Amino acid sequence: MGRSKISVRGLSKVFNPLKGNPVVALENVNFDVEEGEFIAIVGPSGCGKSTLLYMIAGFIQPTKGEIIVDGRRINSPGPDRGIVFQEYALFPWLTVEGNIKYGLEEKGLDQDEIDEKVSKYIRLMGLEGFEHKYPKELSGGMKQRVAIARTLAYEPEILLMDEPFGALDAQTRELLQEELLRIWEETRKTVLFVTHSVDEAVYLSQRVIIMTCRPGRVKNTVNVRLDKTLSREDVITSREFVETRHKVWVDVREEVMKHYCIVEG
Amino acid sequence: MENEAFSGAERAVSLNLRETIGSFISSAYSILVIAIVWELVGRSEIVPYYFLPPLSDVLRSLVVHIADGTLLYHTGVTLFRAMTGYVIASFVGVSLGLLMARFKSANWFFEPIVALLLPLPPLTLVPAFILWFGIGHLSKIMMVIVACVFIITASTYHGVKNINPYYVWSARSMGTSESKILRKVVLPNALPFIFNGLQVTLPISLIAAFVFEMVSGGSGLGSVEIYSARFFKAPELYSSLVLITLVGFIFDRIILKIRSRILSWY
Ligand SMILES: Nc1ncnc2c1ncn2[C@@H]1O[C@H](COP(=O)(O)OP(=O)(O)OP(=O)(O)O)[C@@H](O)[C@H]1O
Ligand SMILES: [Mg+2]
Repeated sequence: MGRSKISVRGLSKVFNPLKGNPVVALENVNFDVEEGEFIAIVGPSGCGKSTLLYMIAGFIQPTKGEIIVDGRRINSPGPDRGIVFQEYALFPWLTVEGNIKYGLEEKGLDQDEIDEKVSKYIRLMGLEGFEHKYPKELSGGMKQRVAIARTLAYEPEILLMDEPFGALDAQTRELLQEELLRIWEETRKTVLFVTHSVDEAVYLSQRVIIMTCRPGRVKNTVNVRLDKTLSREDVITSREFVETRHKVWVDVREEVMKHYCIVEG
Repeated sequence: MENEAFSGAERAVSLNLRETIGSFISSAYSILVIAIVWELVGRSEIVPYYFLPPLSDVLRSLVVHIADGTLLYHTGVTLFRAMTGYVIASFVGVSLGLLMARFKSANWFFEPIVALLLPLPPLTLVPAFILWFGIGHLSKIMMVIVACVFIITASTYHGVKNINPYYVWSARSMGTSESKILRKVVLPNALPFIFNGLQVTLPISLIAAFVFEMVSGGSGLGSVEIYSARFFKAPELYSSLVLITLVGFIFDRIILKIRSRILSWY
């Protein structure tokens, strides 16, 4: 076993808003991610999941602790870590094609290579015929496909995904889950996938990290051993799936209940 | 299949065309009604001639004075002042807005100035500007600049400040350097806001030049109007009004066209 791809050590984050009291979003978070691993992160709303991803992406700095990626402590964003946001964050002034091209151009690839990759990911995410549309002309599901294509296209080694399917209808969501799994099987990228859905976490990942309610810590880690080559139906009706989902669900529920007690008390 | 799609597109186009023409005719209708009422009221002797001459007299005077070149000359003068001021105000306004939004020190210095001058009716400065800059082109151009620049500054500033932080984060994570963020993300995002400022100030530039000319006399459409009024030459008065209205309308159409071209994504 080699060294971890991502190592999160003693990570804490305190926000100091201009008005109001400091918010302890994360407190002493520790975990390791192996290269090529698919990790899902679940936890109550406001427990600091987005904050965690933003720190790994390098957008915001930890208050305490550190994040090591490929043996190096990170302190700024970089194209080795691609992110798909909770909201799509496509550039509205660029077309679908322009959005997907953006990261490739920043990478300095030559035109032929760019064209080839753009058409590859347009095909992969089923965006044919939408190349020259602007984000405002797309449905939510389409926008999310573009957002994923944009991030995949410049081929970051690590994918950070913040509830990427949260705003989608159930059918589109399942479709994109399968698409994502297929791409992951193919490319074996390291994925950190934040979600509210226990089903989604267990269906997609190899390991589910469950976080406590605020201040967020790692409450538990559950390994998922599913045969990903099976069809969706066979997976979600398998005993392993049902049992794992229950395990995760119990933990999450406990934290969500605590959260409500805090809010009401 | 292909044919069907095509005829669909064609239908959409022809529908669009019909709508445009339809809305033009209906809007022209209301103008036609006003024109007829104007003509009738002017011809009846309800109001004195110098108060409202018939539209046909106004149009005749318009044609005569365009033909002899005087009106074109004065229109040219007003346009020159308004446009020179407008272009300068656009450059200064956008630059100042960007500067204030990006640099705390620039904001610290200029913010109170803009806050003070933005709500000031610029035409109150006319007497002072006549003292400082005389009654030639310069004072009018300066007035147009003052009337427009802070509105453009404010809209640019808001466009820059209004940026979705996720856009900046996305760009940075895709490898865009800090120095290129302005050009690649901040500016395109601010463009609709900047355009709002440019659109609002275009007629203001005409108003500022026109009204200044009314006060200071000399040349330009505003002075034509005020001289005509002084000598009770009502058709001339109204023809200068018709011209400035026309110019304003054409400019508005032009900037709308440019906007829909550049901001089709918005
Ligand atoms: N910039 C900030 N300033 C102040 N507080 C913040 C800031 N960003 C986040 N927080 C607070 O930190 C906590 C964690 O926020 P975060 O967005 O990471 O939660 P989350 O787990 O992603 O929630 P959700 O599941 O609803 O997306 C929240 O209580 C939030 O209000
Ligand atoms: Mg979140």
